[in-house]
Amino acid sequence: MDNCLECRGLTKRFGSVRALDNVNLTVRPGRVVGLLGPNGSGKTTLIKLCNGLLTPSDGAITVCGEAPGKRSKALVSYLPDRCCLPEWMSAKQLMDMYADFYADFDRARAEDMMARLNLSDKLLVGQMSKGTKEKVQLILVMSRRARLYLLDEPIGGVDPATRDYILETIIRNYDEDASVIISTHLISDVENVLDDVVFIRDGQVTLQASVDDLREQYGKSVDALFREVFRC
Amino acid sequence: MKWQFDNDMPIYTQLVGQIKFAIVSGALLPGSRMMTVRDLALEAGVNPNTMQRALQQLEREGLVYSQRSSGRFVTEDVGVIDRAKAALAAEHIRRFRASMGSLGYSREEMIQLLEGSGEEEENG
Amino acid sequence: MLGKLIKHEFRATRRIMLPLIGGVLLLSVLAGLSIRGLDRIQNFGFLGVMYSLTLTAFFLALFALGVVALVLMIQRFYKNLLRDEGYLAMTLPVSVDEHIWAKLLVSFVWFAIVTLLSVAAMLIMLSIGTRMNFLRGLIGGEELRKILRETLRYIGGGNIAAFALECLVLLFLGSCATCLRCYASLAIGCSAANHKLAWSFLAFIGIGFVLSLLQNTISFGVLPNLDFSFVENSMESVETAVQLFHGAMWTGSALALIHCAIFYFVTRWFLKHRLNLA
Repeated sequence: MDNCLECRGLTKRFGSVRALDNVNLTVRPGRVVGLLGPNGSGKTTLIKLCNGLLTPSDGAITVCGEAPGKRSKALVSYLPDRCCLPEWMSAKQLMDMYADFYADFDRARAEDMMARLNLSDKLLVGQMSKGTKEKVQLILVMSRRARLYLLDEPIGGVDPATRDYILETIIRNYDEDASVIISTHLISDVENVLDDVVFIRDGQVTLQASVDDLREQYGKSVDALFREVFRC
Repeated sequence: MKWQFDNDMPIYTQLVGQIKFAIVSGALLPGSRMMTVRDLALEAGVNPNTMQRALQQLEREGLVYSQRSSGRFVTEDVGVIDRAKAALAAEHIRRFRASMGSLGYSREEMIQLLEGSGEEEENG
Repeated sequence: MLGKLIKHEFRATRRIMLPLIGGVLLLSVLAGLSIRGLDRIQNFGFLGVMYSLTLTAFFLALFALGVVALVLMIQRFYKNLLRDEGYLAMTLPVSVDEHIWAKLLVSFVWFAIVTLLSVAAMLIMLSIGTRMNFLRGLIGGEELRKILRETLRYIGGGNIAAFALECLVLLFLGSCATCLRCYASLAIGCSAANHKLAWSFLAFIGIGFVLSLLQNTISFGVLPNLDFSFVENSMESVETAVQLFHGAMWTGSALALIHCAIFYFVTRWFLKHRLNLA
C-alpha cells in the first residue's frame, strides 16, 4: 500500500520567508503521528500543502501516492484550525453535503455521533456554540473512512472534557490502514495516543521517531523532551 | 480497569505491566475474554498500535492467547500466571530491598519492620 | 461533481434570492393596486402618500433585486472560496474549473431570472394598474403588434430565432465577462497576505486600466489604418444596415468571449497556484 504521505525536499517560500525548508517526511499507513512544534514553526503550512491549499515552491509531495489534487482530496479528511462551516447550514445539510461529495462518508456513523451529542440536526451552525461547532466539524471529518486524516490543532483551546472527547473520537474512528496526522503544540495532551512524533522548527523537521523509542532512549516523556529541545 | 501512566517510561512497557498486574491479581480471570484492542486502547486513552504491541508481548509471555475468530483470552494455564506473579513479587522485593538498603536497614531490621507494619494494619 | 456543486450553490443562494423575488412580485401587485387607487382618489391625503410610497418601494425593490444578485455573485465567490469557508470548499474533491463554472453558471441563472422577473413585475404592475387594459392592448392592439413584428423582421431578417440567439449569446457572454472580471480581481487580491479586499479592488481597477490601454492602442493604432467605408456604405439601405447590426452583435460577443477566456485563466491560475487562505 502507498505511504499516506511522502515529502521530498519540500520547500515553501512566502516572499523571502521559508515557511518550510527542505522537509523530508514519510508517514506509513496505520500510524498516528504528532506534528509538534511551536507556533509559527510551519505545521499549518505543511498541512495546507498536503491538501492542496498551497502549492510547493520546491520539492515534491505525494498523498496516498497522488500529487495533491482532486483525486487526493477524495482520500484526505481535513480538520482546519478554525471553523469553516457556513453559518446558514444545518447539521443535516452539512451531512447531506458531505454525503454528496465524499464517497467514503459514513452517514450512520455521523448521525450516531451527533445523536450522542444531543444535537438536533435542524440546528444551524450560526446558532451553535464555539465548542459545538468544533465538535460537529470533528464528527464530519472523522465520519469519513479516509486514508489520511489531517487534524490541525484539534485540541487547541478546548476544556479537558472536550479534549478527551476529541481524542477518543479520533482513536475510535480511524481505520486500521489509515493514518492520522495531528498538529499541536500541546504535547502532553496527545502524547499517549501517538505512535510517532515529528518535531518541526523554523520550517525544518528536526526529529522523527516513535514515542516509545524516545521515552526509552531519553527516559522522559516526549513533552519533557520537547521542552528541552525547544527551550527559548 | 484503571490506567495510570508515568512519563518517563515507554507507554508500551507500562501497558504490559498493568495488564499483567490485572491478570496475576485476579482482576482479569483465567480464561476470560479480553476487550478488543481498540476498546482497550480507548479505555486506556492510548494508541491502538501501542496496545496491540503490548498484547503481543503478553502473548509471547504466554499470559494471553488469541483465537483467530473469537478474540483474545487470558490464559487458562494457572501455572503461567503463578510464575508471572512470582516474578512480579521477586521484582517488588528486589526494589524494596534496594531502597531500604540505601536507607541503611539490614535484612533483619527489614523483616522486623515488615512484621510490625503488618500488625499495625491488622490492628488498625 | 459539477452538478453537485451547482446544486449546493443554488441551495446557498436561493435562501436569499427567493424571498426577495417573492417580495418583488408581491410589491408589483400592490403597486398596481396603488396606481388604481391614485386614479380614484380626489385629494392627495394619507391614502395618496401610502400609494406613492408603495410605488416607490416597488421600484426600489426592483433595483435592490438587481444589486443583490450582483453582490451575491461577488460575495459567494469571495466568502465561499477565499475566506474561512474556503477551507471546506477548496478541499472538496472537485477541480478549480468546476468551482469557477458552478459559481459562474449559477450567477448567470440568477441574472437571467432577475431580468425576466423585472419585466414580469412591470407587466403585472401595469396590467393591474390599468385594469388589464395595458395587457389587452399588448395582446390585442393591432398597431403595436404590427410595429413589433416589423422591427423584428428588419432586425432579425425575418428570422426571429436567430436574432434571439444572438441576443442570448451576447447577454450570456457579457454577464460571464462581468462575473469573471470580478472573480479574477478577487483571486488576484486574495493572494495577498492581508488587505485582501483592498487588493481585489485595486486589481479590478488595474484590469480596467489594462483593458482601456488595449482599447486605446487598438482605436488609435489599428483602427485608423482600416477601411471603414463599408459602414457608411451599409447605411445606404436598411438591409445592409441590418447586416451591419448583426455583425456588430457578433463582434461584441466575440470580444466578450475573449474577455471571458482571459479572466477565466487568470482566475484559475491564481486559485490553483496562489491560493492564500488567511
